[in-house]
Amino acid sequence: MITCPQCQNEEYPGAFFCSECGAQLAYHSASNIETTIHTSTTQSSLKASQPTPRYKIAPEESFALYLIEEETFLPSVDQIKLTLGRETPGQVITPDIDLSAYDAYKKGVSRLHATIKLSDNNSEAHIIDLDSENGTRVNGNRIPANSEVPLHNNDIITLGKLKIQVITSQ
Amino acid sequence: MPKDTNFYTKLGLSQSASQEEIRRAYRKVLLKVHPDINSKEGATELFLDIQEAYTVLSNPLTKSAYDAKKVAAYEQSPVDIQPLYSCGALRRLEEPQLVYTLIDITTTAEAHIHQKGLPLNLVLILDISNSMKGSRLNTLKAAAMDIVQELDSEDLISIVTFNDRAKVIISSRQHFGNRAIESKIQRLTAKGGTEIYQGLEAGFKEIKQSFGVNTAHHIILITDGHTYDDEEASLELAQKAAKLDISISGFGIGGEWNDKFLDEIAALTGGGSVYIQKPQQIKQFLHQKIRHLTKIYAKNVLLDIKTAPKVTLESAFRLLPEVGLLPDSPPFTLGALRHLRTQRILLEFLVEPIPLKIDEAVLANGEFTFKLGTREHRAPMTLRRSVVPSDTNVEAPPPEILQALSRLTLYRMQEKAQLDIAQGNHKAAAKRMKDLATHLLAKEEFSLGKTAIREASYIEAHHEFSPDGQKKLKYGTRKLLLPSNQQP
Repeated sequence: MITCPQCQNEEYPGAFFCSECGAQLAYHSASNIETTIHTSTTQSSLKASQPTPRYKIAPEESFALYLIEEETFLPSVDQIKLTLGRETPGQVITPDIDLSAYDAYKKGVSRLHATIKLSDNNSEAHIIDLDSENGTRVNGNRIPANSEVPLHNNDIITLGKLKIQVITSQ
Repeated sequence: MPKDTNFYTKLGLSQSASQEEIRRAYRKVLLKVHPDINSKEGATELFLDIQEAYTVLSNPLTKSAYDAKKVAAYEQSPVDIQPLYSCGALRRLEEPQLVYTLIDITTTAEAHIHQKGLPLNLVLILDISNSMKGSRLNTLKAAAMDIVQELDSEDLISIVTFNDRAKVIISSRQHFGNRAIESKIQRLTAKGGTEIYQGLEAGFKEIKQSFGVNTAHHIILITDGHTYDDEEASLELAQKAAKLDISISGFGIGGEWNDKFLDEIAALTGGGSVYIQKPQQIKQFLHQKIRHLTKIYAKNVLLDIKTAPKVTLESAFRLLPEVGLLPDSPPFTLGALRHLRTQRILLEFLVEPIPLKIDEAVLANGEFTFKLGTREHRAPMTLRRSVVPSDTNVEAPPPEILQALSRLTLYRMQEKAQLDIAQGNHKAAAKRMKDLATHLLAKEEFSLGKTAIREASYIEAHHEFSPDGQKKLKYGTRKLLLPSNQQP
């Protein structure tokens, strides 16, 4: 039998995925990388880091997000893909940037609202609305869910009613 | 045995081989048959044959000419059957092992078949029970009128409505004009209960009235509710329909219909089942369905599989043209085969420990049967693998199989969570939903992933699935099984 590395369930030889937890068992081919995030560890590591602020404020970075009404920069995250939303207790997948502190709930921001993708040198940015309840607007125009929309310097993104200005080095 | 004249098989290639693959295969074979290496009798002839095959295939121009000629030469066999296995060989293990096979059946003959395909005899069975009131019925009417417009002049359409009773509002034998049909559809109103058997029976009678050998028969049942106490009668009717090669597809609107029941009807008859979340989607799904019913080439496609001793067929899925469940045991009714299109089946076999002496194991003997006009055709196949020692390294499976299995795993997790709940184990179900969410989000299936997260919390609070969420996940994960190059 093959033992699943994630949940110790046993499968017959010849199986490729664990029938209990869905983890891939033996093969990793470059064309089909099945990313496996272990939910419980993701959650506990985030909880552990909760007391200390996770991100430092660094508006001098080449890409920054400015909250217009709150007149403050969002903490920057050193990732090329960051998800905006708000964290609630018991949530399985948490956003990279938690907007709860900025009245996100009242302003209709979804738990996982939108993702911003940056190119390697931060020269290009795209936003993807994650099929959020109240939608995402770029410069006032509602963007379709789950598709990439390019962002430019000084663009204003609205998540529900929360307004965020994009600032890039260009 | 006739001499092998196929250039592709000489080089051990399939017709889809790229130039690079052809070159590599040629060099590999050359190492075995080159006169400088191999001095056995007949090697020189073989060498010359290989030279000829390579000369033709390595030039794209002569290759395409050869391909065209090959199709003409193979006109005798109207279908091409290609099995693809999850492993190159079975290992001689002391425990059972799993083998997966993807089988593609594709039409090949082109010349003597007229491209248009068989005309359609279509019956729409529409639920007009009270719950359909409002936007559901309005959008359904608009979609039905659209379909009437779209059909060809040779196609036949009947429309049956049902609530507590069924009524044939348009019969294909009465030859109404489109205007008359539209006004009849427009006048429908919703009231009463949902008795699906009534609708099915009336639709079945209607389709039989215009039965033809050279016609494709299909019933589309559109409902938004549960039927009570007539499921069994409906399933019996579906079996009768399958014998007459009438396939039945089920469209369920909203969260309150019986998905297992519609799935079963579809599986028995080779039709499909669809979950329609919002009424606005009815039109899109109907159009898609009608597209799948055009250019039908062969009818009554049936796959029978007889496994070898010590081999069991664990499960069977249809991946193309539509993803669908197949009944628990063969033969499988697959409906119609479209012109130049593929039906793809995924089979899972469990093989008992293999004795020492065996070097090749037959998994199963299978046979596709189908009808072209009145003629019945048979296309047999044998699924087999060679056997290698248990310590042989296992090579990676073909990507198509890996992808299909990865997606199938997600579908099954959703099924297992339903089973967990049926057994009162809601904690396990919630955990499984979280795992499923993780995999879906990792595959960038954000909308489905979020549904799974929502369901996990719903299950924790209510100890059951929400009706909409359960269907969205079931049909959403099932749709992922569609091979990626076929997704809309």
